[in-house]
Amino acid sequence: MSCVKEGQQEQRRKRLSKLSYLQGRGLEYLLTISVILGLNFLLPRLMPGDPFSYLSGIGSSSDLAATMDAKSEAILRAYYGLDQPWLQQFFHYLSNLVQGNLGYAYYFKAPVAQLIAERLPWSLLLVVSSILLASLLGIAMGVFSAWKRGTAWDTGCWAVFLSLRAIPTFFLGTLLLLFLSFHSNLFPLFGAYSIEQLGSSWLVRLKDILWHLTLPVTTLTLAEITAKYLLTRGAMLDTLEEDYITFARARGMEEEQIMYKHALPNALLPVVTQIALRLGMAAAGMIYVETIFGYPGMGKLMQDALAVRDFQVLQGTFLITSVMVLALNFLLDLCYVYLDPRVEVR
Amino acid sequence: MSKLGLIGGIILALFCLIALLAPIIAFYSPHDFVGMPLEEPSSQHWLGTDGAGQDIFSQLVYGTRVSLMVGIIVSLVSTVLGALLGLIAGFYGKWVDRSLMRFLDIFLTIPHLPLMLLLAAYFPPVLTTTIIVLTLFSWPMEAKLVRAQVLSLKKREYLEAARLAGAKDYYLMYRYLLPELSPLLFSQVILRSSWAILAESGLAFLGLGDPTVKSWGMILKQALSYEAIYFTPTWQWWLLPPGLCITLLIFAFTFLGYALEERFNPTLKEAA
Repeated sequence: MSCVKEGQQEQRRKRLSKLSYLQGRGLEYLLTISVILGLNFLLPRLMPGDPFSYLSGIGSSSDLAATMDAKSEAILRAYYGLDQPWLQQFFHYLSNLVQGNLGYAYYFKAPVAQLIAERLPWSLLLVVSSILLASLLGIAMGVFSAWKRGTAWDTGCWAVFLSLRAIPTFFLGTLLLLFLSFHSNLFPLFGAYSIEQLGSSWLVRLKDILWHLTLPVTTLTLAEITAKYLLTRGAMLDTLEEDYITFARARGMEEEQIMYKHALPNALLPVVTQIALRLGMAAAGMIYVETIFGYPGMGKLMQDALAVRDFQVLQGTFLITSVMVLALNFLLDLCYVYLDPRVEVR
Repeated sequence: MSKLGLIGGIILALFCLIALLAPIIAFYSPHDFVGMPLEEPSSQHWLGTDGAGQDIFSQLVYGTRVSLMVGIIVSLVSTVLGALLGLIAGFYGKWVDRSLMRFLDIFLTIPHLPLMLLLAAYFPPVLTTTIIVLTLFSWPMEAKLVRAQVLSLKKREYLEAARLAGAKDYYLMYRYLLPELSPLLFSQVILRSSWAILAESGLAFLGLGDPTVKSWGMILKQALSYEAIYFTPTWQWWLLPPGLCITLLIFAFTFLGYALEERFNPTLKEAA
């Protein structure tokens, strides 16, 4: 009886500490978000020059004729709230954010939030499917390599994956686009869908969207796969050294069973952690891939904004990309808690 | 696997030689307008000329200098900076360590490239901007690695013995910890260089480079901004060579780095 009770208590403690683990992570993410907000707010204010000093010629080294006197500059400053103390400006910035106002894009002549909302789904489609594909293939190949450790298969895989990582993502994408789209017409030249298919049935449209997605996803998957492969292989090799594996082998267990039932579940934990840590890298890959394939996502928006120095858009995309990365991180934390029974130790 | 490391070392040495002898190997200055725009490869211009009539082969040869320089400066500065801070945090522990670790954890979760683009966009497009931004984003990783290593080294008994004998903190760090860290630092410089070279070409590709400094990334970027690059045979001598050069150099760095790590880290050798 008391044994059952103890078990229940143990169970409750475990659940509680999982919760507190997640709470701790959540707090960390909140702190990170406030740092990002602080950066977004401070950067434009710390950097030399502001929109008006350029026009008035005050405090800028430009030899352009001044088009505005000091008085009208002061009036404009007051109009945009730039004469208020920073703390007040910061609260103004935050209240705008809460209302979903990310500012107005000077160059694109649209609210930044609207620009981002149009492109976010495409980026999520691209990034999430690439990470899933890269993780599945990378883990499978890593397990295969660890299984064949010491053989030519293992060395071959290892060398191929490392060489693959040596190709810059933007060069890899350019080559795929050059050979598969321009030279052999297998895939579209740019974009996420064909305009002429907009009125077609959903099945035709889905096929069209997948057709456009193929090369970008292939490129991003190839860019991400090596890290997953190396991690899985390393973690598997470490785990296979453990005593309990030797014991399982001594009991006469099949090598295949040892790999999947005993080694893989434990080896997966560090892999999940690392996938989370590498999400920021996937965001980098997203920018390159969308730029090459003219894919209408956040990365392309960022690159376009960079070309015309539209800082409002750059800041907005930075903020939303970061929030997305953090959200996916939190999702992977949930996976980790689910996968690791020992998480309450932390 | 060490055979691949040897190949990597040879390739790297070749590139270093090209960088040193650039004025002898290249016939022209990469900035001079020496031919008609978009000339095809010939005996005068081995890889033809670009859209402005500059010799592509000479740009490629001088580009080796830019790439290697960026790699060396960024990796050295960030490794020294990271080693210093990681050493201090790991050695003293307590609030120094806690605050540094908290900062690093936050820093490492923020996606780097978007922030790099935002930062770099505020500064003039010169190579110095690229180098500063890359250094800013690479020392934290080094600090984290060094700190972890110091934490495991700190427990060694000979450190305690030296301390009892009256050794000061800086002496312990300099005389005992630093030599133990040097293999790690050495392979980090190699790996960090290849990261920096890749990142520089990436920033140039996205349009954040100095258009007058022809790094490999910049040549590639300029080739891609020529509208007919995909439709004409131009890509064979304008687009392909810089991309292959970057790939080959990163390949060399990667395999050399792995070979060195294997050599210095006996546990890795057993695993592999």
